[in-house]
Amino acid sequence: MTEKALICNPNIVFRLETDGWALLFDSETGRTFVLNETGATIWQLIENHKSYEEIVVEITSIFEIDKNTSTNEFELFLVELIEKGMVILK
Amino acid sequence: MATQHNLISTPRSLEIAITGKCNLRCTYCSHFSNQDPIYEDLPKKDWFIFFKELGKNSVMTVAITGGEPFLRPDIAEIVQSIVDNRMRFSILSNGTLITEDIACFLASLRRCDYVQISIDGANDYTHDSCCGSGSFQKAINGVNLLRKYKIPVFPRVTLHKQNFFHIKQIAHFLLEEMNFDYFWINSVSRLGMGRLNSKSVCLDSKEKARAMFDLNQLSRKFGDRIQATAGPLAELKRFQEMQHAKDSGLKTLDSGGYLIGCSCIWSQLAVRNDGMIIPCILLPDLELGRINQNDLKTIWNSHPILTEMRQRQNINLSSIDFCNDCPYQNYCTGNCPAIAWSNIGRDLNHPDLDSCFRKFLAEGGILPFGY
Repeated sequence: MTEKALICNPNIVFRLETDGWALLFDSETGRTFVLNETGATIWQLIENHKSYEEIVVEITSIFEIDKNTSTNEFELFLVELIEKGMVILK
Repeated sequence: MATQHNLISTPRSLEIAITGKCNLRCTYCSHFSNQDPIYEDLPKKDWFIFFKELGKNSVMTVAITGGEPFLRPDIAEIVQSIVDNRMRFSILSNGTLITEDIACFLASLRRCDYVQISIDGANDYTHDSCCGSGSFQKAINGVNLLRKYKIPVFPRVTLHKQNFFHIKQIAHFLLEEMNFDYFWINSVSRLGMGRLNSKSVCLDSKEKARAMFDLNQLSRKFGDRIQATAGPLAELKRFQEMQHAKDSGLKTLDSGGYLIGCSCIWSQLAVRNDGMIIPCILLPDLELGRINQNDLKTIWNSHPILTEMRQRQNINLSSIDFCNDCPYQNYCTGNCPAIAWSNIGRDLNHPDLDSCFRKFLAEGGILPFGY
């Protein structure tokens, strides 16, 4: 997982709402998912074609947390995105 | 204390009238103010450009309305363009022009949330009384074609003077014979043709009370298979809550006491068939800017008319003459501004005249016992 490219499902629409939270809208199914500020930041990094390692570094810096915490949180979130078909590994 | 909304970055949905033309002339239609469309329809290429802007602004859904949307020969291309820009769509229609080809095409897109078909009676006699001869059977044919291709479809019933006493038959027909999961119900508003013909189509308070009585019984039987956001059923629920709040001595109810209705202004916009952006399809002459000329996000975030409408939530009903001495003031939300805008001279900061509980009671309306 760490070495593969992360690709956003092109059917997913990202909506940055207000106060940092965001929505992911699956235009294929009509389902929406709410993201907190961390999730919204991660999604935008994936959209900007950042690698697994680059994203860990970025969220460690942005949210001022240690690398282990950011790696664990990112991995949990990424697995969820992959399971929901919102992110594809290539 | 007034409700405080946070404004989202862009509207989540838009209601778009792709045509001002209609093959029917329903005597209660809220979209026409006379027998002829006022504004010219935009060519499809202008809609295509606009849908790209909506996609860039992460708009999620487009409700296609009219006029009658299926009257446009290029509706398939218009819908395809919505889907190409990663949005889902719904269509509000009279159902009479739906063909096998268009139903098949809509199904193939797999992005249709629903098609809403107006059905105002359990038979052609009742339905056609306001919509014109032959329209009932054509609407049912349209429903059957959509169902054949497994497109979600549900009816919308508009109550008026010719059909309100048939509501039980209508509910039985839609929910038991036609086996719809649910239907939406409303009543004629004093807008457009409904305003011009108000004496012959709009329910008075006693007729509304009769409709509430029947809808109360039907709701006990069918539960949430009958849905409403306005009209007698919605008002019945709200009025009962207001009466209960007053009898219980509550200070307020759901942030009542301020002009907080309606909340659409916080999540959606509309576009007229000539490309004019408006706050709502029920406020067609409140112009905010033109598509492909004015930036949608700028309008959404800072247009003075939208700002004024969003500040309605800070207006205490006690400051409005119409609400003076009303015992239900602290429980009321003022409801939709469109009725007052159209009927008392372009005043946005006035409560809805026609869903006022005090007026309903003063005119002889009564709530069903024990609701």
